[in-house]
Amino acid sequence: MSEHLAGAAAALNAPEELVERSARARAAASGMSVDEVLAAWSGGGTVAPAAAPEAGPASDPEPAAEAPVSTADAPVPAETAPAPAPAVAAPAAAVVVAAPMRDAAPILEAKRQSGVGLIAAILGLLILGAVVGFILPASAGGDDTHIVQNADLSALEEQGREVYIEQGCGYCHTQLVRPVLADVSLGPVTETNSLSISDPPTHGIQRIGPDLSHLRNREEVADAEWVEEFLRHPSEVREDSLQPSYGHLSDDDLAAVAAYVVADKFDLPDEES
Amino acid sequence: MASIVPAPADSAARRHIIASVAFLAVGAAFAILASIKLAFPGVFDQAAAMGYSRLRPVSLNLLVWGFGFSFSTAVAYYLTPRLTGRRLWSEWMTTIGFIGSVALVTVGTATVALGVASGADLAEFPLWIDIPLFLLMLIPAVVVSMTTITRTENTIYVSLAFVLAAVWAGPLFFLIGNLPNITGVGTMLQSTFMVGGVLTMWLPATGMAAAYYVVPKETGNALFSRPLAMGGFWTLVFAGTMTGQNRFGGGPNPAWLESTGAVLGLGLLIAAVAIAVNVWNTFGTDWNTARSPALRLTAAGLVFHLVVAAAFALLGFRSVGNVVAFTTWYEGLIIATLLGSTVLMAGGFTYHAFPRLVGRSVFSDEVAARHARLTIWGVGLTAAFLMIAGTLAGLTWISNVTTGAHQNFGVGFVESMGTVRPMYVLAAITSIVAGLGAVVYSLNVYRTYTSGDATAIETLVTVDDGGDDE
Repeated sequence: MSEHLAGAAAALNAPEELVERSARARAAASGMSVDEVLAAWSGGGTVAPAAAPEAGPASDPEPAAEAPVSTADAPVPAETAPAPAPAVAAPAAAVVVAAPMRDAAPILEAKRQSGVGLIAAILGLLILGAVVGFILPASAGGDDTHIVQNADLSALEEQGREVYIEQGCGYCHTQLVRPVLADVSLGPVTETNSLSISDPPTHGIQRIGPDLSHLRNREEVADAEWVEEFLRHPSEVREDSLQPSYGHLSDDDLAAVAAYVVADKFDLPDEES
Repeated sequence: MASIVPAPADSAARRHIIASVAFLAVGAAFAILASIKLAFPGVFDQAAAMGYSRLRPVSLNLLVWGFGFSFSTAVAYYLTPRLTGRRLWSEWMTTIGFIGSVALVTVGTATVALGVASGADLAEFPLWIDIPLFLLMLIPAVVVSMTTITRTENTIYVSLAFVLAAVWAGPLFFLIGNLPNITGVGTMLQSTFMVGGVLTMWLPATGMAAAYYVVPKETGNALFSRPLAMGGFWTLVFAGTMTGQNRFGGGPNPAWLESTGAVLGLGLLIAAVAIAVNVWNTFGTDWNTARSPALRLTAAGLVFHLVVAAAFALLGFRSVGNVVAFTTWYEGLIIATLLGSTVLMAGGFTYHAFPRLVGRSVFSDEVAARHARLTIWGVGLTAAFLMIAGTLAGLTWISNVTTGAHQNFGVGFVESMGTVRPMYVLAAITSIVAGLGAVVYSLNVYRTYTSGDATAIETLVTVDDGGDDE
């Protein structure tokens, strides 16, 4: 085939790779061998397209392969689907030279792009992102300055923590003190092993209400009874507060969550507590 | 299995579009209630289920795992056959996936409303919901991937690339975000990875897949630049998974991770600019004459996305993050992404695809335009007010520390929030406008289905089945 290929490429003034792909497509369409097609082209001739059904060029199957969706004026019955054209019964070694070049131009078929390759690349990037954005930093433990142990919570305080999570307090309150200017005076910075950023987390997502990491440090609210009353009637205790009432909770749950929020959550050295 | 679970061609896409519209309507309603509750905490305060801490997660779960997943799957199932030249690899699996995911998201959200929550943002579903839902989320990924691998078309159009990224990204983010027994800073990181990935990669990829298909189809113009589209694609996939931690700037994240997020946040902006430029040039001179609802909403969605991407990029810088972290600034971004850019691009896609699937033309172009205006103004203003409130709050907290006039807790905190409460009130009002947009959209799609003028149904004539699609 190589001699015909070179000759065809020279005759068509096109790259051999392109000519070979076109010849394969033309051979498939016409029912001839690739060699025969190349031989015809290298001799300056053409290859007649395969005979189409009586419906004419409009039902040529090649457009269907490139545009699988057909939109008709009415719901399309099955019979309008283009059928594959029958192959032309050509002599084994002869080539029909009939139409001028422009009527049987080489078919340019796009190179097949690898679906597997694309999917693998996408998955690779997604996994890389998971490794860099989650796995590596999670296993590294963040930037440790010094480790402060979590204090043990009493049974009532543990119950309160569960109520805190169940009621979604973290959607309005944080328990995460950062080393930034806005968090100065809130208390010691939250570290990577703090209870608030364990499973289940209580670190919260935004501050519609204040940070509750070190509530115990604030004299005015260090009293669990004050917190309990505030949760029942927030606007009466503190005007203009955005705290909604949790009076619908049982007395038991209210007492528990109040005990939790004022609890000593960290085992801090005396000068820091 | 096909005979037990009949699935005509395009039935999967049609069902998921309907589901996305339904989830959006309900999710938007809960979002309005949450916004009102934020501004007026005393309203309905005797009902546990009407608390902000219930309404917010209910609305977000409906909007993300209900509307977002249904929209993403609808785009995948509609575009894949048209871009690959063959029917979906397994139609019956799509039916099972549809029924299962709708049921699980509905039940899961109900558990959140009842207080059976884990406290992790967007990962509130209990484990017995998480596991089957994750497996069902893999169905679109498998079906689309297998259809792509066995396709008859040689080239892979850009929309198909975005679809492939979206169908695999969604389950990955869901998986990471719901992994149990993670300790220490990993708990925070899994949350930021998931939420950030959903907002900056998964949903935008879905919207871009739809946009790159709808715009050339509706305008009749060829895509302006494939290299530009693919460049934006790879940038989005690379950057979109590693910027979530920007949300908690200054937290106990590793410093190198924050630096990474700051740099890659710019990648989000690059991807948004790439598609905006590409679509703008694809429109060409038709921009001023673009009147179809599909084109209008798609274009509006891309502009919205451009602004949101810029805001996400800004968040990556420590000077910004240290001010606005833990304020409602991020809440505004969530609203802008979910109810703004995603809804607009979903609307554009739906107005293009749904009439072709059901054989009915859009019920009213005027109503569609009204939907676009209500969404743009309502969501835009709501997000803006929340972000302004966040900026004010953050700056006030810094000022309090600097001047020593107030403490950022107790009475001092209440006083600091007094400056931003009017913003919450305004956001509540404009959220009603946004919700009206969602309702109008839902009604227009419903009326299209039931009362639209008869038109041609787009029938798949694929190479592999000779056109027999029933």
